Amino acid sequence: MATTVAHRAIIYRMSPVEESDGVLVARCGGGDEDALAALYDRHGGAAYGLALRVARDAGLAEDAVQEGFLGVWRGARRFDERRGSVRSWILSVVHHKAVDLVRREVARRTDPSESVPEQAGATDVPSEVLASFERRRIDAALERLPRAQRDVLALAYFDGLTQQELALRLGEPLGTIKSRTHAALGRLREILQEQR
Amino acid sequence: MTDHDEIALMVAAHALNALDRADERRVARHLATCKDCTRAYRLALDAVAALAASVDPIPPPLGLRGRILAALPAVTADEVVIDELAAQRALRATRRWRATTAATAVAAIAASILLAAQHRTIDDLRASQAVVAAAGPVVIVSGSTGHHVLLTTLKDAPAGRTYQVWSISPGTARPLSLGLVAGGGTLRLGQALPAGTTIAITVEPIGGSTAPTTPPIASVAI
Repeated sequence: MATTVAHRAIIYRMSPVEESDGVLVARCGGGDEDALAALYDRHGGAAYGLALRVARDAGLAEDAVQEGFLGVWRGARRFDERRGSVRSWILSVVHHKAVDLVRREVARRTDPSESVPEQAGATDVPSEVLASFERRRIDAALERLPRAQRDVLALAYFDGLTQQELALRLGEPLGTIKSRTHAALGRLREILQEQR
Repeated sequence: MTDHDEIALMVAAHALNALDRADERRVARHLATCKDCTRAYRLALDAVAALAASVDPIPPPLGLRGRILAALPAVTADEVVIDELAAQRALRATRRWRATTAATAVAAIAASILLAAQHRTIDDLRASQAVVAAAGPVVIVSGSTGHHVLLTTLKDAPAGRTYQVWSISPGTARPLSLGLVAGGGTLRLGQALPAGTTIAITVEPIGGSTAPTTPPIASVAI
């Protein structure tokens, strides 16, 4: 209707070239899809790499990334940058989704080890040179952990095993696994701090 | 072992997403009331973030980006359509700029700019522009008057430089300068921009250029 249209204004949002992650999350909270697209362009590769490492299945990894970014969209208004970086938050949400999907899939299968493909070859994204330095630093820190501690972290985080599953897998009491996981993460943090 | 000690031992596993659903809920409930464990949980998350960062990025499948964007709940699109009269009423009623969302803030400020544009008194809007800093630069088109107004929310241009605004219209040989604008400024773009015009901002030497000399830092098709 002409009368209605006459009293409406349209706001065209210009797409800026470079904005901080925090600003992009704030824009997501305001319902700006371009902002989510920009976050995906920045962190989608890291998210997919992590999801694929956990899920070891391209389809599941894709689902995890999709559900993860939808979670970021929905949670954007609650995000508090003082609690950690946007990238860490996105990766944490995607990781949670990946672990959920893997557990559901494992529960569905009769033999969870069946038809799990080898992990896809990892490729560096050229714009992530700094991130690759960071990866080397973290790899070095993980190398310094005692083997048993490194194993529980890898099995818990990358293989998505619960503490009970870890106890079964390693044939050790649940209490031992809990203590070791606690100690391993604490030790990793100490080593990373020593490296700074 | 007390309940607290037992849960404190599970905080690391919680940060690793390595608890089953029941334990996860139990730890989450505890974290809501225990400051010590919340602090420990944040530290654990830092270490977990390092684990996440240790993984090589892999380019995601090509169609995934489009599928994610298509699946977003339709809250707001690029074009935010506002009711000018309602927004102006809201603006007069509240004036305090306590807008709760970026979209509300943009609508309120758009209304004030349109009012100003219509009355040729664009003046002290800078304070209110801080509210929309998260929204990025916007071009606002009034349905009632056809005024096009650019509202920038950029940092000041580097020393010796200024922002210059261009229109690129279909059938026009080269970009047409619409004027210079400050980082947190407004610029009236006129009333008769042809459909399909692209508005772009570039960084130029003080005084402006006759044609863009740098790639646009922001652009939008009207």
